[in-house]
Amino acid sequence: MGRYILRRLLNLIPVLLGITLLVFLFLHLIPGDPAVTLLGDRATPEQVENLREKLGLNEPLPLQYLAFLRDLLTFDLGRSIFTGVPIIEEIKIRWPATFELSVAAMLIALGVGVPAGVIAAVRKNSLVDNATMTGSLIGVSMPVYWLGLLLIYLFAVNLRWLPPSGRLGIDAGFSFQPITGFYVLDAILKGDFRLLKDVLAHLILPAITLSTISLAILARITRSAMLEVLSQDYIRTARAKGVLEWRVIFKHALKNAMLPVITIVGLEFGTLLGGAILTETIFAWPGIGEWIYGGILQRDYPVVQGGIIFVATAFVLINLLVDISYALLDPRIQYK
Amino acid sequence: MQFWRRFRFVILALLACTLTIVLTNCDSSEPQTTTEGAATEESAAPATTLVYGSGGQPVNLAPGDITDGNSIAVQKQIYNRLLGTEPGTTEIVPELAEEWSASEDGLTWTFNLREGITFHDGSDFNAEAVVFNVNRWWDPEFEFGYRAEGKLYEIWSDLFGGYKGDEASILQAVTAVDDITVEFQMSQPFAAFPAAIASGYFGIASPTAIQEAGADYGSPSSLAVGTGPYVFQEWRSGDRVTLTAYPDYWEADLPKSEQLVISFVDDPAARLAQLRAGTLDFTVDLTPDQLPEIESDPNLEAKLRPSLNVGYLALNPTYEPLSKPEVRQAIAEAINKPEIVQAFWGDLGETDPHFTPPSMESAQDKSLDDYTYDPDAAQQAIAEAGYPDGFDLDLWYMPVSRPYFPNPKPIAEAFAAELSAIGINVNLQTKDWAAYLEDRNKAPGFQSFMLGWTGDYGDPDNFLYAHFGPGATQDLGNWKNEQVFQLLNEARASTDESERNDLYSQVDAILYEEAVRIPIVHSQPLLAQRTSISGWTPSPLGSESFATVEKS
Repeated sequence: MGRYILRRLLNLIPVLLGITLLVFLFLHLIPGDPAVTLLGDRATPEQVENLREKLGLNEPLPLQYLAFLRDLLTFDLGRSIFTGVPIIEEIKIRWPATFELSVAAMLIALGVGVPAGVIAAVRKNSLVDNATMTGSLIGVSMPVYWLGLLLIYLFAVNLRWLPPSGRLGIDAGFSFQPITGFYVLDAILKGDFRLLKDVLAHLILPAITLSTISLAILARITRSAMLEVLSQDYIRTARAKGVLEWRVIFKHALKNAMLPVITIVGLEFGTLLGGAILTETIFAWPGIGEWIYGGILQRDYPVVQGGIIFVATAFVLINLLVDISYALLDPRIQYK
Repeated sequence: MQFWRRFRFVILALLACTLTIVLTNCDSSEPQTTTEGAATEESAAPATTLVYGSGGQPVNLAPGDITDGNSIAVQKQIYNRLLGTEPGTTEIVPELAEEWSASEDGLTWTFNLREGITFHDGSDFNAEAVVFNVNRWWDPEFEFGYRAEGKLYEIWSDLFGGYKGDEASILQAVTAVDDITVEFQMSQPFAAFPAAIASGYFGIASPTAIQEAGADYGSPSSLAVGTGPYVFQEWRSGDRVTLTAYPDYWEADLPKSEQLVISFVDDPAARLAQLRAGTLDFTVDLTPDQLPEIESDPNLEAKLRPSLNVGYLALNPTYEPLSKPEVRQAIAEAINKPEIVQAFWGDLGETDPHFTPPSMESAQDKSLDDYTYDPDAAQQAIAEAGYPDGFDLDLWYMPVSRPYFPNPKPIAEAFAAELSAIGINVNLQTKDWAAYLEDRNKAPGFQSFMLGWTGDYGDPDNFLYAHFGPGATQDLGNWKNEQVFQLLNEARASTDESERNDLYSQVDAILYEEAVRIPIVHSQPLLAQRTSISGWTPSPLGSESFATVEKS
């Protein structure tokens, strides 16, 4: 087991190198001189040259890449061109927001998607099944931006049940100093229920918006995995023995149907971290995604670079954890 | 192994918790925000809190080191400048300086400062403080400029020709004559100096605070200290800036609100939704297509910021057919400006024959009537100029949206349609924004192109010299009109307002005839507020103090 993990960790190195190379090339091969873009419509050639020098853009591309890698090894992702704040500092402040949102979205996706998939499988071809599958098709294809605005208009502008965006109300913000950066956790640690209510109220709409695609995919995967398991001999045997139907479904079938679901959860969770760009932007959620979006608009290359590397690394690590967890879930799986 | 199987979940959960705590502890060791004594636990919000929706977070709160609107909007609340502008106009009025004047030769500007003003940190505002701030922007050797740490103050060089020691620098020396008098020595007369120094870039910050904070001054984890109506409390990265009223503010009865929160909401649709939901009180940078939605909500009021920009169509005289003024004029005649502006900007755009925006009307030739739309006459003029069968023309449109051209491509298509009606065969072209800006300046340049300008400060010099002065016409194949050069230089040298206006009016008339950059539109940015807000007068300069804004 330990050896397997070590081997997987070593395998990460080429993957991560590939990520850095891709990110680096993307930003350097798009047309247009970054220095000109940065300075905008009023730059003199002299200013452009100075900035190119300052950004190291005059070096040959491979040398620029090596310098980039060297800095990366010391967690030096550079500074934002616009604000001058070190990228690593900004990531430290922002990742808890993204992580909290992704966890909330995943909980919703699991809490709704898996039961929906189970019901659909058990009542195969029934009205419930068709409705669930149609619903999940809509969920997969719904543009996040549109759904987010729809929810804001319905629940915040018209009904006034929930705040439209942000992570914290204006009033709650005056007295609140974060401890961990995970606001839900902070509110609990402080034992402040008014704050907790405010934080959760702000979390609901973006979490729902972010969860839809994963929820739909989970429902579909759960359904097909359950269908496969339910058709196996041991289920028939269990039923023949007179085991209660709910026990058959939840104890015998669901547990064995979970393996593909876990795989998807891992993949989806990684996607959530990165896919939060649109959701965070619509909901003014101060996380990594909103930061990358701002970086793209301003052509703040170090920000985009740092943000993408963070998200990609998180994605890879989460999938490693998922792979390892197989062994824990299913004792039949052995790693050599 | 048995043990592992039985307790694996417990062990994993414990590991996860430990990991979380370790990771988050690295976070919280970094102060995310600085709030000395500002946030005591459980303190409720003050009664009057204004919430302003900003289109993004500031880059920095250090004056002179930024050019973006989001930073300036916040800085206008924290800092005062030497001079201000009359609300809603570009007219210069006293602010930290009560009086200002130029010497006879126009080479010395003297500012007399207001007495008895203190910065938010309790230190005194005086002539030394002004000199300290100017040195920071201007002097590359200044100890507290922190240029080695990456501070650039580019806007200073953009507006004043260079830094201390540069040959082109307009400023030669800045001195504190006594406690309340500051003198600026110039290398050449620069009549727009008061307007330039009044721009939002140049707020006066506390020297004590800058020396204490060092290069970090103005960043989210640091502080920002001025003499303005609001005191900096906290900047929560990606979320908000919180300010509170300055009790010792020098303007009587201001600010009107006890607390001002600047909330960052990048997406315009989300900003409008917040405004409608009541979590924002007023906001800026909305898109023209949001106007109907604002008007349909009885709790909201749409506001227009007076224009300080121009969107123009440039005709490059190095391209043979365009070398003749008659042809350029014919093109101006062939484009139905009022109809295009109505179609693409609606109530948010104005069109007139002047390159300078309407807020500078005293520097415009009011006798000018814009070219009347007359395709037949235009076609005839082109034929008479030697092109009876018309000619080919590359027309470049911008790949990005700007306030002066929110959707360049359809606008370019409208131009193309009108020009093809008089026999000009238009090829629409575009390229990546950076390449667009770069290549238009490379000889021979684009044959014709769309571009625009938003003013840095409220003086015609910033529009006319920057587009028609020496060195400013690279993108027109270094087109020059000696008379325009001469008039622009005279206007720079004169400190007599009416004389300057007269000179600029003459330039206006010549540019109208020359038609090398045909002004298409002056657009007014769309803003909105809740009806419960009063006292907000948007400035053409892009942002304004919110000291007079209050909520009922």
